[in-house]
Amino acid sequence: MDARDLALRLQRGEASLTIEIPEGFGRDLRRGRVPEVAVRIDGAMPFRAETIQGYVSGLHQRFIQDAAIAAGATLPAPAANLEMRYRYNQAFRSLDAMVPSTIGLLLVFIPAILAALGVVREKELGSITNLYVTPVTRLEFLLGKQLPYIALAAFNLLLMVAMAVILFGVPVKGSLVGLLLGGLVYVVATTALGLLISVFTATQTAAVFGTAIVTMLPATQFSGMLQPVATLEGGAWLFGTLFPTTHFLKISVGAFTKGLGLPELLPFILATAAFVPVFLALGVAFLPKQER
Amino acid sequence: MMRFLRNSLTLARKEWISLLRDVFMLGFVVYSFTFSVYSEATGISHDLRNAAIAIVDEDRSTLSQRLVSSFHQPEFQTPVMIGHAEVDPAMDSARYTFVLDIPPDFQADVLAGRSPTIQLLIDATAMMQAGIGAGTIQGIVDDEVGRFVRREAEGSTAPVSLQIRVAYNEALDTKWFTGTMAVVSNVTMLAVLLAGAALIREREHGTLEHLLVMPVRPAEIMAAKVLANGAVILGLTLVALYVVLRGLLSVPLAGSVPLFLAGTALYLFFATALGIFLGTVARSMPQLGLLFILIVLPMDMLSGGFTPLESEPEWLQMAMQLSPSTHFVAFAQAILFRGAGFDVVWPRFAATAGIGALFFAWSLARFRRHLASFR
Repeated sequence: MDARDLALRLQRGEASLTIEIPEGFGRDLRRGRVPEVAVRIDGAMPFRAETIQGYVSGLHQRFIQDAAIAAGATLPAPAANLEMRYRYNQAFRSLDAMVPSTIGLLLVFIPAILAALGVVREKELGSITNLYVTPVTRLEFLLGKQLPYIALAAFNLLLMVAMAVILFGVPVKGSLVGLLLGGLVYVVATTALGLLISVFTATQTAAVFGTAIVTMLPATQFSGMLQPVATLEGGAWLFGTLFPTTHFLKISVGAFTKGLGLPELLPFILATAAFVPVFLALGVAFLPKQER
Repeated sequence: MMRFLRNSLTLARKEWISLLRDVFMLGFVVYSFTFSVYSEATGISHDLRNAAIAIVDEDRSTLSQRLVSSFHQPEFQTPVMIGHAEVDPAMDSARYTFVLDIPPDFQADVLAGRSPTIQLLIDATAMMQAGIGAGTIQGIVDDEVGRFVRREAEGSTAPVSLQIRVAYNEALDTKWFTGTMAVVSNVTMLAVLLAGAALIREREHGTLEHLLVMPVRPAEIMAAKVLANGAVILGLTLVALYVVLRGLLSVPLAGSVPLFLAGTALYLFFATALGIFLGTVARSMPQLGLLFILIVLPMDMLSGGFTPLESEPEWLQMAMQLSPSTHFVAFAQAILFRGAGFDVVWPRFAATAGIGALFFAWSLARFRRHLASFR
């Protein structure tokens, strides 16, 4: 292959990395003329390029060391070593980190949408008149709406934990009781969030997309799923801290991967629980008892 | 033929009018192609930025002080000095992603040539940061210790020099990638959603019956929906490319934008047809939403716009070749990042058009039956 061929293959995406070894490489190497190997990496997907770059540099170092050892040189001992310990997940398996987070994501997205639709559907079909004309209080109405969805979401939680363990082989290293208790509290909070959203939306379409916007952005970006909350600043940090997913992810990742027991999980569970009365109170406050 | 075109265009105008009236949907679509793209590109970063690090300094020497001060913005937050006892609780609650433990007599051991060991604890549950950060910290520690003992860099004595050049995105700016892929992914999601919602809206409001009593054929109704919603998405894609990507995020857009838009138009035939297909399956908006999560979300996630296609299992890679979304992502990357021309991307275009046409025909058949069930 010649250089033009290499460039074309890179452009077509058939190769992510091309290596060009110059003419007379071996000869130059033996004569100590320091030949140059040209490596081109496809930077279209930056994080993949970064990984490739790391591997290539590593190989280069290894080659130099091997060549030196083969030539009979002894390498000087490094001035200091850095020993890395990947805690909680020694094998650095992405499943162990992603599965617990995904449970947190799904348990805010779907329960919130369903709970929101539960109320908005009544608004659209007109059966919400029952609330207006009967002596049912607003809190009773909302709690009655919420209970079935809590049950449904709790069943989902069990299903997903079972799937994580059986299908994905991600063990619950910490307290299962803490995980399930935290999960239950979390779905109570997320269904309450759905009810709160439903109070402000008039159509089912609006409820679906409104909930998607309100939940997806903070849940994926500000809650520690992709980036640790500790690295966030200002508004993003505040948004993350004031969103229940942030706290549930600590429970979920803590119980699954970090091996935390119930006592260590308790503060996170309490933090998640604090959202329930706030969401419900806001929902009751803004739900009109009379049609406007 | 002329009648077909005239009818379709008239119906398309009706589609636009009804979309304009659905203020919420319109707002959502515009939001997705502007604010959402921008926030995704700037929010999700694959670079190491502002990482939380704590240091247990048991040495308290000049060298350890130098190490502490070598972690700074923008990669790291100012390191927090903590004691041994605080390490576990702090890591358990994810307060720090990295904890560096400098042992006692570290400086003395370095100077005596005893090669002491610093321990770096990494919270491996923060996958993305953990991987990149570990390498960066290794580099910083090596540099700082090396400078301290004034050892010459060994690179100059290497028998082979390595010249690495990253093509197409030299600075490895992840904003380019994330922003562009957000646009690509939104094209898929919103085209399906808009077309599906357009059908459901007609049914919920009972206007489908109005259409049925008019002298128009199902093919015309469907063509109008595809045309109208596809055009909206195509227009917004153009806005997103120039205003958000090139304007706000200064992505260079290497290749020909008209070529990309032509490919997008081909792809939109498939995406809107998929929307109409789902619209005939779902009975209400909530059902459409759930079907969307089940079918469109995985299709979009697996197309190669988020993670490289090569890292999927072999059988999945093969299966994904049947989805035009995979080809769409591939030619988008080829044109917008690598500046590829038609000579390079035509097989992708052909696959998109071919599979899209088949699916369109199938959707149309389903749509016909769907309409017949209303008579």
